[in-house]
Amino acid sequence: MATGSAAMSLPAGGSATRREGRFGETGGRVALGLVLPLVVLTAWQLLGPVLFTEYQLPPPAKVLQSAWVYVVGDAAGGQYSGTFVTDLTASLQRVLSGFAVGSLVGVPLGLAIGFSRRVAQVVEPSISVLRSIPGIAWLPLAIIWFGFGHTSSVFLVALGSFFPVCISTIQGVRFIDPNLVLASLTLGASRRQAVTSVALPAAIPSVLNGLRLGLAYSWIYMILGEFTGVNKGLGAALMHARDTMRTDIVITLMIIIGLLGVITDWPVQRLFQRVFRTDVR
Amino acid sequence: MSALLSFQNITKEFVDKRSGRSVRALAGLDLDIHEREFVCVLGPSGCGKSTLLAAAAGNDTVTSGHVRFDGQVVERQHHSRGMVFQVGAVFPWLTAFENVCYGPKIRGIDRKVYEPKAREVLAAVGLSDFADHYPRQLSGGMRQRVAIARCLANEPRLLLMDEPFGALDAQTRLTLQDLLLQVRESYDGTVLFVTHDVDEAILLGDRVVVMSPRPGRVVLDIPIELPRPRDSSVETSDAFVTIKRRLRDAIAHAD
Repeated sequence: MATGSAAMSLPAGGSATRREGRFGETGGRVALGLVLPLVVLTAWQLLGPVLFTEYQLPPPAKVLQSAWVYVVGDAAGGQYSGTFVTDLTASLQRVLSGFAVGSLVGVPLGLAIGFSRRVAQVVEPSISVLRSIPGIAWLPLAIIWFGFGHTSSVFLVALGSFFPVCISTIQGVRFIDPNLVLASLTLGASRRQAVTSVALPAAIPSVLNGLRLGLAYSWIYMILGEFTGVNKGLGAALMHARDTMRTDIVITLMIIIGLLGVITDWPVQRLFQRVFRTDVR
Repeated sequence: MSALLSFQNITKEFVDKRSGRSVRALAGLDLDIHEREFVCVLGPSGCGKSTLLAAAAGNDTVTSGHVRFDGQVVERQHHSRGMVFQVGAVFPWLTAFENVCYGPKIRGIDRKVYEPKAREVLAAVGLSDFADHYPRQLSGGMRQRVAIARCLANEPRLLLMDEPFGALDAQTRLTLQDLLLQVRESYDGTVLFVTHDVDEAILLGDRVVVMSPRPGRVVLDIPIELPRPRDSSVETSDAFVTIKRRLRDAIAHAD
């Protein structure tokens, strides 16, 4: 498959592949994105001491210092000194194994429901009910089944990622342009070939969106799962920091978790676009 | 002479999803299309002309009557009956060239045979320079060119075209009509072309069939005796205007 050899400049009508705003360069966009955080930071610095005690809201400099110690470590070697990497590794492992289970069940089941009316009639009502149970409501049962800790959080991550992956896959199959399938059949494809060569690729963008969403949910459920009490992990550290009255570490971890969510999404999105040459929005 | 494609007493009824009522789209329609004819079916929206095409392609079934292709009752799709849709049916994850190769490739034809053929038809629709472009990088008109080339690569005996230029702007439509007339000179298959544009029907067709509003039936069936090869300049000729007047009268008195 020869791709990318031809120039991208095209006459009118071709949908724009890239939007070029006034701040076309990455630097400009990053700068704009930093405006709001800087405003919040300033307000925190100035108004924080007026509205809260230092225990409730430590100043930005203190949090920054604690973040540095947590991530890089210091000579004192305190409780949160340089433990970031071990926490991250433990959490990442839970996210990835739970997400793997959730998607490995979610995608095939979604395809089955999307393609087969019979399977849909049997399974879909139950999925709708189960999906309406908030993730946190699963926590007690997870603890009863799997005890406190690792397995419980993997279970919750699998559960949390399963629903968006499965639902998106179903939608992806249901909203395939019927003309694409008809075109395939009139061009000589058998029914089976029409499914494998047209219906599946046509559903891929939606499946990928589901996987992206599932990964985002995995982070949320991983934190929830680690609240059941594991030794290492970002969620565990978060709860532990509250118990030890370390609000600076609590805030540090919240920011780290947010940033990690964005950071992990970005390569996934790029990879999907590259591999499948489809717009993932 | 027996017909290549034959609609015999076709009735089509379907249940309208919104009202829940049964709608009769076609009522006992008869129509014969002969080998190498270019037949344009002209009719208002909802007259069942697309249903006719869908039945010929094997994409839809009829309530009663038979659609015969080469003497056989049409039951399902076959690559000898290619179809060009109004919008959207090019595969967005394949390049223009891969789209054109799709038919022969999926039918298991040798790559050495279909690749040169694909290049040839892509050149015939003026897209040689865009072979490696994806549909989203192409304009609406170019996507329809890909759709036409993709059918031609299969060398179908019958080409079914469902308002293929209906979603395009006037300028692009003219360009593509001229292109189709050019392609017509080298493609010796049969074409059944559905449109609601009177000028388009006269310009392209050897024959124009006018259908009544729903339930659709044939109200006029006339040969278009304009010289070939044609191009859009014929639209200002006296002969063209005379035919146009006749067709408009037929449409006006169809119900």
